[in-house]
Amino acid sequence: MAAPNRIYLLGSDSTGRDIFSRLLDGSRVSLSLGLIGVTITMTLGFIIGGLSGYLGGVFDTIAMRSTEIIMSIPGLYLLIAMRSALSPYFDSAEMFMLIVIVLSFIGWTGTARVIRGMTLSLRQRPFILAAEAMGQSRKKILLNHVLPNIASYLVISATLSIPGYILGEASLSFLGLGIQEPAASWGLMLAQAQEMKVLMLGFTWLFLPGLLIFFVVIAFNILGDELRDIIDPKFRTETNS
Amino acid sequence: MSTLLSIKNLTITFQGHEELLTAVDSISFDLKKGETLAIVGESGSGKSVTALALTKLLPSPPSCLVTGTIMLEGQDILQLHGEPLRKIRGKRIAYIFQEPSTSLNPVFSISYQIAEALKLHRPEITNRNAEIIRLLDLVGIRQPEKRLHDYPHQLSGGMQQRVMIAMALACQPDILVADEPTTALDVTIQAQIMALLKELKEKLSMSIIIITHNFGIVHGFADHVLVMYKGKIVEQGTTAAVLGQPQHPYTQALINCIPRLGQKKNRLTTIDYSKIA
Repeated sequence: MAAPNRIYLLGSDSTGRDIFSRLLDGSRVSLSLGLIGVTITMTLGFIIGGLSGYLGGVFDTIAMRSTEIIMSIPGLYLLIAMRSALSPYFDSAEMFMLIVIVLSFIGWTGTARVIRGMTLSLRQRPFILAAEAMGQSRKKILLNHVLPNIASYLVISATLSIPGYILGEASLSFLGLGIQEPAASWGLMLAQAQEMKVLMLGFTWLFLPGLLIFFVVIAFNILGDELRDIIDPKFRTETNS
Repeated sequence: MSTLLSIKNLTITFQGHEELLTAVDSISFDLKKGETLAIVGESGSGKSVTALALTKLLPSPPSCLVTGTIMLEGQDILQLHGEPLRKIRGKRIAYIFQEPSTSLNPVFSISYQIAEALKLHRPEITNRNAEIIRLLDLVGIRQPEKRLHDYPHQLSGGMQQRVMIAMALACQPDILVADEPTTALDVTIQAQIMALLKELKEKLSMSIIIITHNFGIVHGFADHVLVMYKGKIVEQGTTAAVLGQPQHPYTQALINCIPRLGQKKNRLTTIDYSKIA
């Protein structure tokens, strides 16, 4: 282990690997997973929740009962089961992708339910009836009239759940369910930094991945706030008149 | 004048918790080309439901059942589905609703919303902006080019209703259904909007179905009146005949209920329902 110097900008870990390089390399896993997970969650949540709320009837009943079934599956146990069933056949990056996809396929249910509720209340609004009376197709009404009205929710919810995936990755890696050595991720690096000798020898820079997670989480929160201001015209201040 | 829209035995039933509720009970009426028809009646008499049924805008069965025929130039609208039905909505029969503030989508500028109607029913128009400005000018919005990118919340109620009318006119409909278009507006704006509708009707030779409970509007605006009570048409005829010599006790009672300026009475007249068959 080395303290920061001119070659190891942020020092090295117990096996002599450069922390700075591993931080950069690990960021690819940590950041992309959040984006992928959120994309899957939001797309599925919007399509199923939106259709459910807009069409109602039999489709609504079937979709909502299925989401309840999916919601009742505990994610962590599914993950552990998947991990033990599949681990010999995947390398750790592929494995983690798989885990995130599985998690987001469970995670969309919450989004779908909220979006169903919002669509249901939007559906009662006269402008949806007006669009229908104008001869718009259902697809267009859902995309052009319902989606923009719940976009601010989607954006806030998406940006706020990206940190959730990053933190999720960190906690899974800590439990040994996530990224495995020698690949790098912030969660894994943070777990390694908790070794006794690191703490005793005072190599505190090893906790940098934690600091990065902290900043990324804050950054996404601020981003979500800003995006809402931009998307929602009700919050706009300038007028044209 | 030729008959444009012919409604025969239109019955609308809703599925209640236990029993069936008949909102409209076997009504029939005709609408001629260029004619203004007023449907009057109290709340819950089936006026708005009738208007929505014209283009099948009511919830689908089993929650709501619509029977009878609605013939638009030889075509039964109730038998249409999907694409052919959407071709009638907006293009042949357009609507103006009661609450302009909620009938416009809050997240889009007004030009976007009018453009949407144009794209849908008049795709042949290449210079949409010019057409939108023309429409806004037509409905009496001053300096329309400056208003194009305004959002609904930046407009007053009267302006919003004008935008709604512009949207309805964008598709050049044959029939304009105005469902209490002035109820949410104050009296001076009401007069302006009604004057505008009257002017546009003459300019564009549309037929108008106006739903209202305001007899002032009926008197100044409609050619024919249809009085609805409990889902049935109790009286219909020319405006002069119905308002001048109401035959049905309900119509008489309804007309008696109108408060008049300068009337020195302690109590307002109400309808004694026990006297109406």
